[in-house]
Amino acid sequence: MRRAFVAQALGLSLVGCAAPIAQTPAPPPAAPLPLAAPVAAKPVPAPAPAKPPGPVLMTPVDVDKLTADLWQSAGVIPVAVSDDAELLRRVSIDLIGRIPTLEEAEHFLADKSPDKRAHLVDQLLASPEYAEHWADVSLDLFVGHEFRKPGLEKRLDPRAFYLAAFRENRPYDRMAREMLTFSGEIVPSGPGVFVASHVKGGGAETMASTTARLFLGVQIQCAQCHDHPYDDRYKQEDFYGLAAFFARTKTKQEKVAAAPAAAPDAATLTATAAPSMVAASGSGDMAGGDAGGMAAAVDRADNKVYTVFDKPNGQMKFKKNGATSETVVQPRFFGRNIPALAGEGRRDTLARAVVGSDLFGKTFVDRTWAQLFGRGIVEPWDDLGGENDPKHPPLLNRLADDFRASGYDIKHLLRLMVLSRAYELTSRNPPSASANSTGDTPLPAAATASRPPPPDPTLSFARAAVRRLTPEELFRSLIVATGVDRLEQLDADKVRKRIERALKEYSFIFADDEGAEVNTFNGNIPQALLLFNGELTNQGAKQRPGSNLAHILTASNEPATRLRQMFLSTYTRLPTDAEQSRLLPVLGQGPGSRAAYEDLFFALLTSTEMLTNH
Amino acid sequence: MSTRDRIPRRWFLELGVGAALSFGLGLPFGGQRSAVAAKAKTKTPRARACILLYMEGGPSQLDTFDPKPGRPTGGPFKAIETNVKGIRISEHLPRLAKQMKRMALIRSLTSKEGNHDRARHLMHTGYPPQGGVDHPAFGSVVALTRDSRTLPGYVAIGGPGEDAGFLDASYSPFPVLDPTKPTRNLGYAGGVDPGRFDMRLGLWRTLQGDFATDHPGVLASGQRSVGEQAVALMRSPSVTAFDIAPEPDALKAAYGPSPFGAGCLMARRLVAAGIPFVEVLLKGWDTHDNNFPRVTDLSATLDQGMSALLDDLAKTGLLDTTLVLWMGDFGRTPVINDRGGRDHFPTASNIVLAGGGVKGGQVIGSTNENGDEIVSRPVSVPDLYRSVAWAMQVDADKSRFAPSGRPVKTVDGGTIISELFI
Repeated sequence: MRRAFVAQALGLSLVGCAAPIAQTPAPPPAAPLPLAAPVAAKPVPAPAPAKPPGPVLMTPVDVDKLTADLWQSAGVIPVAVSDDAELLRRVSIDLIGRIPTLEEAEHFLADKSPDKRAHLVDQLLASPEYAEHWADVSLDLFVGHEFRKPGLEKRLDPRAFYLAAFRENRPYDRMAREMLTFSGEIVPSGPGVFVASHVKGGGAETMASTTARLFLGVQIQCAQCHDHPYDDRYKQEDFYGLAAFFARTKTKQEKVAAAPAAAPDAATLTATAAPSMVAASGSGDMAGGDAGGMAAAVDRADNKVYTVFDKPNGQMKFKKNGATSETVVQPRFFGRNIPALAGEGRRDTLARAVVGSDLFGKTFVDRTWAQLFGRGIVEPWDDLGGENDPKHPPLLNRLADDFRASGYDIKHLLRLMVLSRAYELTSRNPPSASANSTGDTPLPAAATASRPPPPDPTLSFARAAVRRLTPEELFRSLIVATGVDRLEQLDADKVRKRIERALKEYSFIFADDEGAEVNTFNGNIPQALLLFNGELTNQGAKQRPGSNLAHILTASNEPATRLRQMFLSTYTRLPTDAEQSRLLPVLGQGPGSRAAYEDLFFALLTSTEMLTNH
Repeated sequence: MSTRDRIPRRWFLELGVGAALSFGLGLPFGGQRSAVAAKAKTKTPRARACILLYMEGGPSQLDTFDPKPGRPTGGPFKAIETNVKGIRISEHLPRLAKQMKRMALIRSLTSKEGNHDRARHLMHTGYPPQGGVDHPAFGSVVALTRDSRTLPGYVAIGGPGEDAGFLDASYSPFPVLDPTKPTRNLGYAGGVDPGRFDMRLGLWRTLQGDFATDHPGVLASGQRSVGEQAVALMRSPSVTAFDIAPEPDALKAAYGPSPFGAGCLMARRLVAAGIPFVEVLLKGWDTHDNNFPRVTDLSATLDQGMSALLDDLAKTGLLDTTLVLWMGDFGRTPVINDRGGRDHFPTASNIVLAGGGVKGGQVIGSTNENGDEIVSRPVSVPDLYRSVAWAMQVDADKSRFAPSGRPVKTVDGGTIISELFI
């Protein structure tokens, strides 16, 4: 299914986003510990309580031992480690959602310090763009498109919740609880849109399947209509048992008088509503400062209030296949009864069970791994099977245990992954390999005369995968590569509007299937047309005051230097000797050569090496 | 997938159809044994293209093609005579009333999907949304089975359409967001002439080749192939079909000033150029409040655009081979709510078909006097799609494999509505 347009907020936040990391006033090298401490520049409303000396957490070396075991059992030898340029590009896209600027690339390549990769990762994780990027990722993942319509999205700004959470490195279990248990008026930047969008999009059933998939990596929605055909773990009763946790949850939109109403109007809920019901639900675990504090700031220009609330009663009912009457189903968590604690609403109980499940950490770990490596440790990440599945490999189990032990510290997990050996491997075919070889080298023991085709090394993370950029990553990267956000002689407001318009078009045309498999090609003609004939690439390839190409051509008259900088600005690497000898004759030095540089820059911007992370 | 077991049972139980009809037997139309099918066997499918007029939000059947004037559920609209005796439709569709001889009305489409997203998926793919399989739009299946040369096989005008699901993304709809203007990005950018574009393309090909050599896999080769297809489309003589500017002003006026009217006109141009499936969206039918003024306005747009399309197709000789299909998310409640609106009602909705071998001037199925129940000839979405597939000569029982390895038929179950066709 297509994704909705991306927030206009993204476009706004993009202007000037490309402040080179290397030039920001040297951020304090992020201390490796305490890992849960917020790294955001802004003061954090609710500081994490000081942690007692915690368990010993994993280091990237521990990850390397586990991937080595994986390679051993898959019978592959990993390819070589990426050079600095390749790694810089990959980790920049993965952590801050865009390619490095020319300045960042030159700075990093010139840096001779031995620990520069670790230092780079710290810088990226501390960058404001880190939170921007992961807010984009989370918005697409969690917010259903009922609330991605431009007007509603602008007003309720669901992205801001994720932005704030990633800025302060909020523990993931807390984020999940906030999303699942929210109750009350939806205020901008609050977590309420998650439940509201899915309840509105399809009621308790959709909430159940969305919660199971996104937080627990379980595909239970098939069991909505019938017992699972291939997997006997999930029955229809399990689906409706999970849905029963949301059976009382409703969302509504109503016009109000000027005075804000924080709680829904009880009279509209049901005639027999008990007075005590709504307020209690869910608010106990809320980040009180976030939700309550913002409520006053709501712009109710249209006098509309969106509310998530729970009715005091209401049951989940379903008609089993072949049955003639409906059965009432009590809330059950994969067949288990979870007794409610005092004061808990159904969703509070569910949130406790979700966070308590081993699948909770595993799903986040596997989804994040899939995002960084092109495929999950278990593939796909949203079909992990069941709780404590013995088939889950040690790499997943250990990372999930560590994630939990770290207090669900997302930056700690990301650091483990991107500093691992597997992440550093190149995506290039080894030069010795023949054109259609997959590029692995067989283990000596496996080298027999007639063996099946070698396994694809990207399947066991023995070579980096080539991945399509998301629409947001591609858009941000094109902005950084071209400098169209810094054009001179143009009204800043006009530039901003153009960028917003271009972002809208990129989001629409490049909207893809979430969870599309890596190494499958699913580009299409409208995308190619947008790149070939669209405004962003065509304007961006021009030499005009303020543009990156103008900067490159002014900085040097030497074609080889210019070529080098054009490659660094787009592919984040230097041209090979072969490329130089092929491309330099096309370029020139005279004033008439401007078109040739523009044409080459255009070709760089629209080619696969630019459009992918590799 | 046990849908194949489930749907038949469900329809048996709930529609009260059964013994006489065969479901999902895997037999082609001509091979089915029922009496109904045997009769239809002598008919010849003739649709080469399909234009889907999709009413996003769910059009009110009682205020369009199944009026109930004078009933408590009927609302203020009057019903008017059409050019077929005994068939009456809303007074706000006067032009279409004069074309009733060309149209078949189904007043008894029924489904279970009352949520917009789920219903849109069902109405575009023939399948309710299910985990594990991302069903392709029927238009994507048509695109897959037709050779439209350099042109896309499925074009969606005014909205994104429904994507190709588990089929190759090249069968996803080619979007035309604003049909009143030349389609975006199909022509060279300002300051770029064909010669300069060729220069760029040459460099682009070189760079693509280098990357593909270093990075095995389908991504680089796929990107290159799609880029070449895009260039072929830009340079195809038929690409002019994506711009309605060359049409005479009088004809543009006949279609009306709305984007929907322009979309209908572009659809005719695209079909004439050889594109087999075109969808035109008309949004705004989700009339939970203020239903009657809103439907009045929407009807005016619909009436003008759709009737001009039928006339134009007939005049250009395309109507006989072009199936025009009108439908939306679902019907709307007979009960008028206290905001003067109607809510979602999948239980009964309307479909209009014309051209492409459809026998016009008839009504299939009926609802009771208040419109809250179907009383004859219930039609399911699989029935509809099996019929459309037959008319378009798309094999309804052909299985394609989803990534999970599960075989998925073009249409799951259903029976051809044989009386629909000449």
